[in-house]
Amino acid sequence: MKKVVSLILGLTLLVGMLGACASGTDKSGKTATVPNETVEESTTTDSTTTDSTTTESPSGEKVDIQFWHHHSGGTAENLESMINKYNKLPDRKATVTLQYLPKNELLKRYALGVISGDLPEVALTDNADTLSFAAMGMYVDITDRVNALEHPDFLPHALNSGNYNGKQYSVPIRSNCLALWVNNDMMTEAGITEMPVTWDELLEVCKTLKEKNPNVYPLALSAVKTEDIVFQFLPFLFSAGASWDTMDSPEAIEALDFVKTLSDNGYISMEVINWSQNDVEKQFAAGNSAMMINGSWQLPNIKNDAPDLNYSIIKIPMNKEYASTLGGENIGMTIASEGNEDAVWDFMSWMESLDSSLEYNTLCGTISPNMAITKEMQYPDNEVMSAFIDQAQYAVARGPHPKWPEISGILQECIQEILTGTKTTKESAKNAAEKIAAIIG
Amino acid sequence: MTKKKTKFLFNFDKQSKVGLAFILPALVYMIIMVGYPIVYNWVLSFQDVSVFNMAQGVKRPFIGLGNYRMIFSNDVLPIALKNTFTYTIVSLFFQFVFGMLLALLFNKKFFLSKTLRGLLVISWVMPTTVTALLFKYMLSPDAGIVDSFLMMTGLIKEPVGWLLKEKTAIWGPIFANIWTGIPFNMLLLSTGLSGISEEVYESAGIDGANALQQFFKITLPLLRPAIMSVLVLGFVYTFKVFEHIFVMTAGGPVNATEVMATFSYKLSFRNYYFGQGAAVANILFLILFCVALIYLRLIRKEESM
Repeated sequence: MKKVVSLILGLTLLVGMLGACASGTDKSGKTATVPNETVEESTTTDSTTTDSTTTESPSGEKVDIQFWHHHSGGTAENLESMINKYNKLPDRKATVTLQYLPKNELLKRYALGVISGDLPEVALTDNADTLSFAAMGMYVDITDRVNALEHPDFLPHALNSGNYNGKQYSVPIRSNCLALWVNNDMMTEAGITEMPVTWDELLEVCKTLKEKNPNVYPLALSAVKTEDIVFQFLPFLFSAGASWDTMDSPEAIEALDFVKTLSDNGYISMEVINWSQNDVEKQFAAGNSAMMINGSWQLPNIKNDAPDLNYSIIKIPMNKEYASTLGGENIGMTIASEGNEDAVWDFMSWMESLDSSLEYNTLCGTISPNMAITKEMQYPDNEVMSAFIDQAQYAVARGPHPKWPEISGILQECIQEILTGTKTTKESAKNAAEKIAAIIG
Repeated sequence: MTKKKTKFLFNFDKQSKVGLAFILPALVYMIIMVGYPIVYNWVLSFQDVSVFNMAQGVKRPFIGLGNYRMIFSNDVLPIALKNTFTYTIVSLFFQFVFGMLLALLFNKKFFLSKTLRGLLVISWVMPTTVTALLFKYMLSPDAGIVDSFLMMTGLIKEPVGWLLKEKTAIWGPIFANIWTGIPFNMLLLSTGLSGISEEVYESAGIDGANALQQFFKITLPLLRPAIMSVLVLGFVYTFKVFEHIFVMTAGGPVNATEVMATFSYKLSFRNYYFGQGAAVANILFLILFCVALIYLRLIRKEESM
């Protein structure tokens, strides 16, 4: 008997240990919500939690719908104010509840939701992530609805990021891109009057800055092994005339070598491989670097961290042509909307209306993806944002490809291998090209 | 005996039935909440799951050992396995040694010993993410205290950049984990120590045993159960390491700090190859299963002693 008892006890212990490591499948089922104080506190609608399955009320006038997103801080507040505005419209068809989840958690919940059915009606994703979920079958086809919008002309790359096999599954709500931020005072101190336009000029400027002020890194960029490194490297790749599916081309190797040159000469800190784009902003704000590559979404942070910083925004220096990466998010209608598509679209089309798009993007300091909204409409007399909009003309979105996360992982590895000197540029680029070719077939 | 056993399964007397009723809720809970995910995970590991067929559920094609073949040909797996073992064994060794030394120290009752012991636990109760961030900053070459200190003492000429080089990166999370785990070891060992009666030491002292002899002949043998649970629990907790690595290096530079848990996570939730992710998790499972079996054997030996 003693044996049996100890065996049962042992098994219990074992099972307990393993429960925690079973690939997270069970975990996320149990950890119900990761509430965000700012969002939850001030949501005006009835306090629905994510766990309650989608509340559908065919008989009632207004349908309760869920909207999941990964924004925190200022962006979350802006999104919330938009939702509050919609929820007060008398003739609306839906009542929207926002739910914040940290980005990794959000993607995990979407993927699991495709299997379990626990999905919001409206799903926000980064444009590079959208097609994975389209391929999984998370969305409802909204091609006709999008075409029927009053102003259906979006930035082509932004719209295309939600298009899978010719069908539109999601629409862009915000766009942004990377540009070069320059600390004007440091430039003046180093006697630099001409802003760099080409890669060679950028190297020259870096050299001068480094000589004049060895304690400050001339440039900061993010090379952490997440999506950030790819986002930040693509402008160089595109500018050289290559793309992520031609990694072993001479052009791609030129771009990779250029970044390596920046690192080898100490123009960027060796710590960049652990810096996220937010870390880069902190470095620039603290005056630890004279220039940085970053997006307009950092404007509120810079304002907060270094209100007196004298900076300007210019295009990222180019090799053959100007280039940048187009970021931003899409919203899509998920399969949880079944039976309530019209009500859900009522909200989505309101978000996509010119007024809402203008208001939301202006609040956030981002660029409206709707081409009916001109630079003058959105940012009159705003030099900084005008510069970003100018740069956005050259911006290309990542992918789009349903296996983008995997492709991105290969690119991340490749660039880090080169920056850390683990492999030569050629070797690493060839390896990456082969792996990517195998994925896209 | 055999007769009795078959009876045990099929023919309950009244008392057994009552007993069964008592364990039933717990059993049902275990089967649903713990057993099901594990079984599901095994099934998943034999299926081809990618973004294109995820939603099909049960109808996803079974591909036998295909996922295992894929991960065994993945060049990250050997790195992840090696890192996981290095991480676990090195962490466990230092946590245990320091934990034991501190436990012995605080076992001597001196002024403020209880308070100090309580304060030490802070490193264990601190959220892992916070610890990881702290160590990330401390190990930074430009502003971190570790490199500045080493340079001040003249041990190194220029900052090492611990987390930035493939050879040294894994030591960052190891340091962080050792620091986190010491109080846990200390507490469990302290509890064990307080269970050893003073009289044993007294009589040993009278017989002329010195401190070292007392430690090896009395403390260690009597502390055996506590030591074993500390090591096994420590092994299991450390083997599943995720946060330290994820926060400090995200598996980089390149793949230098990838461990089984982060590898599985990335396969499942970044590339959406749930089958392969499940296969990695199951390898982790099998290793821990072996550890648990060894533990059970040791316990049984103990009981029969």
